[in-house]
Amino acid sequence: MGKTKNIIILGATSAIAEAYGRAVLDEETSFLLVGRNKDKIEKIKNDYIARGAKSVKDYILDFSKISTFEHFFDFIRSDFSDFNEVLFAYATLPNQEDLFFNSKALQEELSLNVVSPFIMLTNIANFLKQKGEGQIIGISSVAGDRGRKANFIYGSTKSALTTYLAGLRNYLFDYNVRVLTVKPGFVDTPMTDGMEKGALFVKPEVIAEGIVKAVRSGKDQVYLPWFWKYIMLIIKYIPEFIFKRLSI
Amino acid sequence: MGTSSKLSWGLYPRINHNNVSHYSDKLLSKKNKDFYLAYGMGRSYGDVCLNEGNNLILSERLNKLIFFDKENGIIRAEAGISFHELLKVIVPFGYFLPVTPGTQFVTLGGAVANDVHGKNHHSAGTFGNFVTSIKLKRSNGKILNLSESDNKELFIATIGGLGLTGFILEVEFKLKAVNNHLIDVEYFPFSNLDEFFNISNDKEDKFEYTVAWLDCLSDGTKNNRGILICGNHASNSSSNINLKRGKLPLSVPFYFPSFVLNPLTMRVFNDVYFYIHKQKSKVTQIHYEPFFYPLDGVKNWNRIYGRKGFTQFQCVLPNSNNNEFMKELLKRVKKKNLGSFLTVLKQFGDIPSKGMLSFPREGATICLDFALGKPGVLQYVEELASFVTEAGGALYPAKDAVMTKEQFAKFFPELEEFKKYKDTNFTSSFWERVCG
Repeated sequence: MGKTKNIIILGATSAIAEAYGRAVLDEETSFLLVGRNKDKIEKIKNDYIARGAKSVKDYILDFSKISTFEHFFDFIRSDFSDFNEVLFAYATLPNQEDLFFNSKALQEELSLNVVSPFIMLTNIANFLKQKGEGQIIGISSVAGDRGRKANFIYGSTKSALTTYLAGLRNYLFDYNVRVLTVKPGFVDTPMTDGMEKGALFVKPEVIAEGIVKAVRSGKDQVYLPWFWKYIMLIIKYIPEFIFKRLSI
Repeated sequence: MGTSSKLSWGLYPRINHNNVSHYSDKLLSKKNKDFYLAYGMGRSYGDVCLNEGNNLILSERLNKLIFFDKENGIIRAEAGISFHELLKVIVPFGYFLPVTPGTQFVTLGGAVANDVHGKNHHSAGTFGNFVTSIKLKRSNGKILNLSESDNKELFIATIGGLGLTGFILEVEFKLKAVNNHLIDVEYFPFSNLDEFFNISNDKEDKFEYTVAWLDCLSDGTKNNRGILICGNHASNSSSNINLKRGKLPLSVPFYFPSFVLNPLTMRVFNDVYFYIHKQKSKVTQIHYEPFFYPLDGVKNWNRIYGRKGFTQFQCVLPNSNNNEFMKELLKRVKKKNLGSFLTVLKQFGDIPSKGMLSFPREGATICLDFALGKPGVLQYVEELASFVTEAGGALYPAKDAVMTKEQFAKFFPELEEFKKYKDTNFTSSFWERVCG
């Protein structure tokens, strides 16, 4: 058995986060599950307890309500101060066409996918900085690698997150805190149920296993599954004057 | 996901569904007019998990545990969780599944719906005997709790109910306590069916698990040689327990299916395999995975039979008349020389199955694979089915491609009673075929 893991999962009801929790779970692992949906959090909590986790706590938080974060940070200080790993896993994937006609929804999207994570993770970073150790895992997306017709609003929020996580990694390096950026490709989850699911889709368990391996080997950034590294390499190097004519 | 097609493990029949979608709370409600069937891991062979022209509800995302009483060995989980996942959780706590089929890639819901059996049928009966409670959602959106004391008739109809009484949401069942993950195994070769029945009768008291591998290809004689494989959960808890390890090295040749399934090497392999085991009937200790799930190591082994797929034929025959029925069946199989590569033989015990449509009953059960590539194979399987009917046996719906209406009614005398509890908006291709 390895050393005790105390993990905060931000967005614990996300399919990837739930699978990751299961993948690392053993009798030495404690969880703080954070999410908005009380029923779903409760079910995941029961699942982790039944599977033999050391302890599971939960905190109901709407990540779009940034003004309530301070209470959450207080809760961490009082109830889960010995955490040593944070999985950041919340985001929304909106229908982009809808956002063209709805500035309010667009603003909410930017708030939840960019403003909220920046504030959340900066505070988390402060905690870990003081501890002088720890691991942050940030779920970004391959969609952040290049602006594409179909989903550049979601994509650019992930671009911002990727850049933020890269900077945070450099900043926290001096404090012995690691930051892993995860860039999943297509994952078969409720989030993507609106899409036609082709051969490139994988189950969240595959992503979870990939994250476990990447954390173990101390990676900075990982594409999951691995082949997305090469797909995105090609996509990134297509000249813009060609790319804009393609329907990728 | 509207267009995605789903198949059964036999890759036959290939049919289209109207809609395939993941389970969600909204799916079944009062105003429903559509016809549904739950789909788990698609490990049943024929059309029992398919619903041509209608809708499938995928259970794979319902994979949470609800509770696990580690003191008393009782577990409750959502119906889409797999046996594989359950074993990963329970074995480290000293528990095992009370009954398991030959693959761990089945869902809990599917195990209930088909009232599955395993190598311990003679000592434990079917999986349904260990189920204490079921949460079922009917097509009108009503959620019901079923148990011996609550909605008892619907409880019994749902066990082995082929998914036709509604959508199974949760299942609670009793686990079996074990000392470790190991199985003590012993092999007993036999050279004909009489020997098989003698050895099997003799060993059933001493072994919790028994199953025979039968060489249906050995030619020249009317004899059927084979090996009876017997096992018990190992008692020595001092053995070096490595629960994370999936499989033991190939010290015990229990991976034969990966070779067997190649028709070119089959004959040679059968001879060699049999010869090796004839030399010794020694005791070995192996991990539970190769003992219970020898084929699970070969991913997608069902594709080996080609795109046209295959049918698995499993029947139970009465033991009467010095087992004349089984002998006659095997004589017919050998005469046609159609295979089957992998033939499994076992004696069912007399522990009654709970379900109204449960297949296991006292007698000897045999399981044969037939590739559907050549013409006339289905016709031949139909002939075997007729023989089983005349002999007073039964066929297993989860592995069927040929059963007729008359046969279904004869094999399952409680059918009329079952119909009272069937959900009117749940159906399957199998049901339409044998009861439509």
